[in-house]
Amino acid sequence: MSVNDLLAPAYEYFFNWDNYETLLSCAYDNNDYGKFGWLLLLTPMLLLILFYKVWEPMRRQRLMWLIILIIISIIGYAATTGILYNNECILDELGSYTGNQVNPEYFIFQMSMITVLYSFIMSIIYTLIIKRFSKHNSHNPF
Amino acid sequence: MANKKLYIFGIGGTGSRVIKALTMLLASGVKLSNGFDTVVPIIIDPDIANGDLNKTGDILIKYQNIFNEVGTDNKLFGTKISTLRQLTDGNVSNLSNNFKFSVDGSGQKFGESIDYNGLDAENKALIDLLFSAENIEADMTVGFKGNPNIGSIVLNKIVDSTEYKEFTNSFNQGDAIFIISSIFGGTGASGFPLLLKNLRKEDSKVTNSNIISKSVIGAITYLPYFKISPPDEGEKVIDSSTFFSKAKAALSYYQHAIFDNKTLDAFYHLGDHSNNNMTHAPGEEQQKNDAHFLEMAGALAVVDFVDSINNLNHTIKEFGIEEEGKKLVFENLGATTKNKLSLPLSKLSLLQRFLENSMSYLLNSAGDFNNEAIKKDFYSSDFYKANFSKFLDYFNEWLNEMGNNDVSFDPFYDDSQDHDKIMEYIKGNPPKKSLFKNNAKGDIIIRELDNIANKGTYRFEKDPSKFLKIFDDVLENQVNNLLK
Repeated sequence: MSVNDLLAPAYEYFFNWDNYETLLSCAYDNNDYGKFGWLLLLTPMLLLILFYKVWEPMRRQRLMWLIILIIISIIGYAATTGILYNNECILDELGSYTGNQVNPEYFIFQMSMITVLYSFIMSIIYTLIIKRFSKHNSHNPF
Repeated sequence: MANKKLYIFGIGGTGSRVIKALTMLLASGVKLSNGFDTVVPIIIDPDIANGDLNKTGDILIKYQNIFNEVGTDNKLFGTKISTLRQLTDGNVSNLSNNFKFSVDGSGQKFGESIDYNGLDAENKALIDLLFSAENIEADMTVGFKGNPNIGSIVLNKIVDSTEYKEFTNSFNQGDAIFIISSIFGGTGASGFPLLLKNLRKEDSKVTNSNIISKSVIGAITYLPYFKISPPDEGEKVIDSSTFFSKAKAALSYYQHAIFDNKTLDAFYHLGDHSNNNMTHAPGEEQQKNDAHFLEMAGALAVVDFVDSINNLNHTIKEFGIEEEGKKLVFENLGATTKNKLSLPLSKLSLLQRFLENSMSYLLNSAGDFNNEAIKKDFYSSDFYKANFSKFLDYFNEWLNEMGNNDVSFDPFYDDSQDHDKIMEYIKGNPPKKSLFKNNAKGDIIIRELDNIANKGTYRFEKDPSKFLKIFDDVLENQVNNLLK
């Protein structure tokens, strides 16, 4: 099973299939869920390793951790938007959008927000693991 | 040979203050060498309410409480301080457990203590020849107020006290004795030669007298190093203008009674010609003289005595500094003194500053030290609140008093620097800074605390011991970096 197959249901769960079938198929056919998967896997891991093992802030540690999570979310949001705007199928849908069907731009926004949600969840999971290897933030945020 | 004891007799107010200084040095990590691992301070002062004596007693008790919790293998608080009662395991019930030596008759008028009114006419006449009417009426509750002729009579009785007997009982082969006194006052000037005479006397009725009389004995005597301001009204009870004449007379006596007879293995004398005025206080709780650099130099004499104990030959030593000045810092001291003092004093001072100014940063830290090694409730424990923190307050007060005195020893900047500049505290030794790293910040200490806590080196120690050992490692490293 590919990452694309694995992650597709996690995104599609939030949409009404009947209305979003075309756009969701565009994302699936272009292997975009696979890209989202690697994005969700690598971005929080990389940034949290940098946070807990390299930066190791000493002041306002919880706030700094929260800022890192916001950065991870912004990266997730921007990357998802970028990936979907580079999907030719979705671009075609955007070009042919008349106002009577689902708005592809709103779809891209929704997909990006779902990535933000999963980025946040992944960050929490990574935090629980990586903070154990930290010396100065081993109890950050809890 | 290990496990040797050093008995330190501190006579009078000066004796108390030098013992206080020695306690501060031992707390900061100065160690005695040649197998001496226990210090037994014995304070002889008839003025039992003397402010200096009581403060020193409190400091010693706090030191003991800390030592008992943290154990022996530490640099900070690493030397055992014991009372005579503790040496006897509490077997002698009427023995005080507070380092103070009871002086029989000290709460009376001098005349009462010698039963002046009960003497026959011939003896009365003899006493009248030796003592003035003022002497006979003198209230000894506050000591001998600069009258060694009174003190020599009263202090001659100390050999009959329970404390003295217990001292002789606990004395072992290899133990040594050091006596601290001032030559220009009353208690110290009279007490020192008497004590030495009794220690050197071989008496079959006194336990271990044969060992004690042949033991290594060192002494420090203070020449005048402060003056006393006259009291606001009435007659002067202690007249500092007589200090030098008293000192000369006493030295002359010491020459033939002590030096010519070679009864001392090492003699240190210290003095200063600074215009250092102490407020007039004849005794009791009013007598709280500010700590003075010379008292710390006296404490160093104790350390030097032990260091050179195998090479003493009736040695007489003076203390000197490299550069004379009114405000001394580490750089002004001689190389040996500087090496002895700079690291330990800087470590304990940094610890005091850190715990005072950076505690909130430490308690908010999400690191291993604050969350794994030493939990927050440690700071509300008796060990920390009642003993450790209070001792550090005394240490800070002691440093500040030395800084404000004349001559001033003030090697550190004001202790109010905030967390971000906490490492900028040793005069003449600023921390190295670079574009990307600010070594002045207290964060550097928290980082190191976390590093050691993370390694788990002291994880099996009790909290007080773990706390002290981790801090000790960090402070040693940081201060060495500063002093490079």
